[in-house]
Amino acid sequence: MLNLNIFSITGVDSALLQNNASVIHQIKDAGEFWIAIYNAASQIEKRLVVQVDEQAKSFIINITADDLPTGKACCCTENGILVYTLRSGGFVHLKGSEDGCFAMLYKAGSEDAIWDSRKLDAGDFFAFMLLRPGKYSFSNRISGAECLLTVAYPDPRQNSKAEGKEAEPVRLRTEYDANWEPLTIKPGQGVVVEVNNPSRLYCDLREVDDGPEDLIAWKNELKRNNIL
Amino acid sequence: MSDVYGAISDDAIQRIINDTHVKAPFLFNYVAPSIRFVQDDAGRLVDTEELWVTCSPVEDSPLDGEVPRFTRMQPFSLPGIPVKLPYCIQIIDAALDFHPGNIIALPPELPSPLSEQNFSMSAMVQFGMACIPDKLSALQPIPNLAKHVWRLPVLPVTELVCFTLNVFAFGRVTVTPENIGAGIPFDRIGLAVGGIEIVDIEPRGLENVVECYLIAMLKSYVLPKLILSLEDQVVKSLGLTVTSKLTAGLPDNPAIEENELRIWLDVKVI
Amino acid sequence: MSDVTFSVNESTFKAVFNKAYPGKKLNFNESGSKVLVWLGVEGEIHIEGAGGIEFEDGNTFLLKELEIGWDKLILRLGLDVPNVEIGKFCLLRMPRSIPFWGDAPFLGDECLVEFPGVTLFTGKPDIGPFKLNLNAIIPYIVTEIGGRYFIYINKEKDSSGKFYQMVHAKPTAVDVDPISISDTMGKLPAIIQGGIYYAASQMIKYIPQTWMVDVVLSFLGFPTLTAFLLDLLDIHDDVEDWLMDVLNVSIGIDNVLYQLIFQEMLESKELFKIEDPYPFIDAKTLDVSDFGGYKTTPAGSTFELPAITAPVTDAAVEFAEDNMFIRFNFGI
Repeated sequence: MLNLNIFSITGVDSALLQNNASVIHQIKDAGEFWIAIYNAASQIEKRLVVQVDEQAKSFIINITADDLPTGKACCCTENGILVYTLRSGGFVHLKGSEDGCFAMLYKAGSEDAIWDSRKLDAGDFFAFMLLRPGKYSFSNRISGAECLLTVAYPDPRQNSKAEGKEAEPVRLRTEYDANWEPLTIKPGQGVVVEVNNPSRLYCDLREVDDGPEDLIAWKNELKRNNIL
Repeated sequence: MSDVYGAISDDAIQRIINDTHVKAPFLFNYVAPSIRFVQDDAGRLVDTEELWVTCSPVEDSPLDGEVPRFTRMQPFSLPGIPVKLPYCIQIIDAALDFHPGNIIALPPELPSPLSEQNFSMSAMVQFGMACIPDKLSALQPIPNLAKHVWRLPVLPVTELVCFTLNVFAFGRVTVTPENIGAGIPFDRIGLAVGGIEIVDIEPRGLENVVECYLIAMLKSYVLPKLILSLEDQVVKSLGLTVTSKLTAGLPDNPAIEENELRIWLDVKVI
Repeated sequence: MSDVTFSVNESTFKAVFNKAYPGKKLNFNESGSKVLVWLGVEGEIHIEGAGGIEFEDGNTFLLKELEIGWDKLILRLGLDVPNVEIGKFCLLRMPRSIPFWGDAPFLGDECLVEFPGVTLFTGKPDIGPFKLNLNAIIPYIVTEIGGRYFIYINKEKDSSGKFYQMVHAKPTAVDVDPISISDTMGKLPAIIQGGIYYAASQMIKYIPQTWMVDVVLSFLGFPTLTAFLLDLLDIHDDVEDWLMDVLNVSIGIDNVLYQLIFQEMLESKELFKIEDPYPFIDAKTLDVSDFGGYKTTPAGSTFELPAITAPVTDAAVEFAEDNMFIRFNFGI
C-alpha cells in the first residue's frame, strides 16, 4: 500500500512534528539532563535521562514519540528510566511521529525546561519535506517572517531513470525581521532551516497543483495503448 | 537394406519338431479309427466304440489339458468291399537340414553335398492298413455277426499291417511377387523340390506316385508354412501393428544359408 | 549361433520408439526468481518422437533430436515493488572544527544527522502473481533435446498377466538445450503488454490520486508505471530475449524438461516384446470329433488345446552394424 500517511500531510509545524519533519538541538554543557517527549494525540509522555560529558562516545541521540531512542542505554535509574550518554556539544535529534510530537529538555533536578521544541531557538535546526504539489505559505509564526513555497508538480514526461531521484535539500536561515525569497522545491526535496532566533516554523498549503492541463490528454492517449 | 530381419537355425527347428512330436502327438499321427464291440456282462453285443489302431504306440502328451494323440482321418473304401477300411499314417521321425547340410545324410540317389540355398529333409513314415478277413471278402454271410458287419461304418480290427518308408528330399524356396488387387503386393512363397527319394520301395510306379503325393504336401504346406510363421514371428515381436513385405532386390529372400532360414522384410509401422 | 535372431534397422527402431511414447501429456509447474521478481511457469508438453536415432555399438543409442510438442505455456509473474525511501538527506554536517571533539570518528563536513525520510509504501507492495498466457507463441519455441539411452531385455509380466521378454530403452543422459524463441511476429510483445497493463492497473489501485501517482513516478524515475514495471522485470526492446532469459535462466526450464522427460522415459513401456514361453502352436479351440486318443474324452463337442511352447533362454539385445539384434534360444 502507498504510505498514505505521508501523502496526506499537507503542511508542517515545527511545534508539532509529523513524519515529514524533525528538529535538532545541541547540548553544549556537560551534566545530567532529562528529556520528555510528548505524543500530541495521546499526550503520552516518554522520559529519558541524558548524561553529557566530554568522554561519551555518542555524538547524537535520535528520539521520537513512537520508538525508543537509538543508541545503547547505559543503565537505568531507580525508576526504570533509561539513561543515555552524549558527548558534550552533541545533538538531540527529535524525529516527527505519525500523530505529531514535541519534546522538552530539563537540567536534572529542575522543573524548568531549558529547551522546548515548540519554540526553536538559535542553534537549532528544523528540517522537513513536502510531497503534495501546490503553493504553500511558509512562515515563522513568532517573528512573522513569511514566503511563498512552491512544491512543483512532477511532470512524469520529464522523468528519467538516469536522473538523480533526490534533489539536494534547500538550506535557509531564520533572521530577525527578514522574509525569505519565494522558494520552489520538488516533492520530497528537503528544506533545512538553521534557526537563529525564536521560531515556530509553519508551512500551510494554500493552493493545490494537479499538474499541467495537457498531462491528462497525454495519459489518456497512453491508456488507449494499454500503458498506465 | 531391409527394415527387419529374422533367422532361425535348423537345429532349433529340429528341436521344435522333436518337442512338438512329444507335446502334440496328433500332429504326427493320422488315424482312420477302427471299431470294437462292447459286450454286456452276459457277453451280449450291446454297442461299438472307436478303436484307434496304430503301428507304433503313441504316448500321451505331457501337457496339462486335453491334448489328443491322433488326428482323425476318414476310412477309405475299396471296390467290392462292403465296409470302409481303417488305416494310420505315423511320422515316426522327421528332420530338416539347411545348407550347408550337416544333419541329414542324403541317399546316393540324391546329389550331395547340398547346393547353396538348398535344404534337405528326411522323414520316417509308417503306414498301417487293415487286412480284410477272407470271409468278408468272399461275401459269405456269417450268421448273426455277418448281419451286424454289413451295417458297420468301418471294419473292426485290432491290428494293422504296417510298413515303413524312409523319405528324403531336397529343394529351395521360391518367391513369386504377385498383385492380389487394389495395388497390394503379395509374395507367393513356394517350393521348388530338387529331388525326392523313397528308399527301398518297388515298383517304380508306386515310388513315383508316393513321391508325387509327398512333393505336393511339401510344396503346399510344410515349408511355406514355416516361412510364413517366421515372418509372422518377426513382425509379432515388434509388438506393433505393421505391414510387412519381403525386401526386394536381395539375391535370396528368404534365404537358406549357414544352417539358418533367413528372411528380410520391409515394414511400415502403423 | 543362437536359435533365433531378429534385427531391426535404425529407421524401424525409430518408428517403434515413436510409437512407444504415445504423446502422454506431461505437466510441470516450476518457479524461480529474479531480483524483485517472482516467476512461475506452468506448462504441458508431450513427446512427439525421435527426430534422429543413431545406434552405437554395444547397448546404447543416441537420440539426436527428441521432438516435443508444447500444449500449454503460462508464465506467472509476481513483483516485489521496491519500498523506495524518499526525503532522506543530510540534515546536519559535522562542523569543520570543534575543539572538544578531537577524537570524534567524523571527518569535517561528514553527515552527522540524517533526515530520516519516509518509505513510499507500507507493508509489502507486491503485485500479482498475474498470468501471461504464452500459448500463442508456442509455435515459435524451439526446444532441442537429445540423449543417450541403453537397451536391455528382461522377462516381465504385462498387464494381462502374460510374460514376455521385453526390450526397453532407458535414458542414461538427457540433454536439454536452453529453449530459443525466434521472432514471434509481434505476438509476444502484445502478450507482455497486456500482462504489464494488468500489473500496472493492480499497482495503481494502491495509489488513490493521480498526483500521488506522478509523485511516486518522480521518485521511481519513470514516466509511466508501465515503464517502471518493464524496467523492474528487466524487459527491454527484445521481449523474445527477455522471455528466453526468464525461462532458461530464472526458471531453468531446461532442467525442468530434463526431469520431466527423463522420468517419463524411465517409466515408458517396452519397445519390443517376445512371448516367453514362446508359442509354436497357439492355444485354440478344436472339435473333439476331429481327433482321438484323449487322456479323458472331453465332455463337450469342442476342447481347448493348450499352446505348444518353449521357454526363451539366453535372450540378449545389442546394437551392431547399424542394427539392433535380439537373439535367444529355446529351452528345449
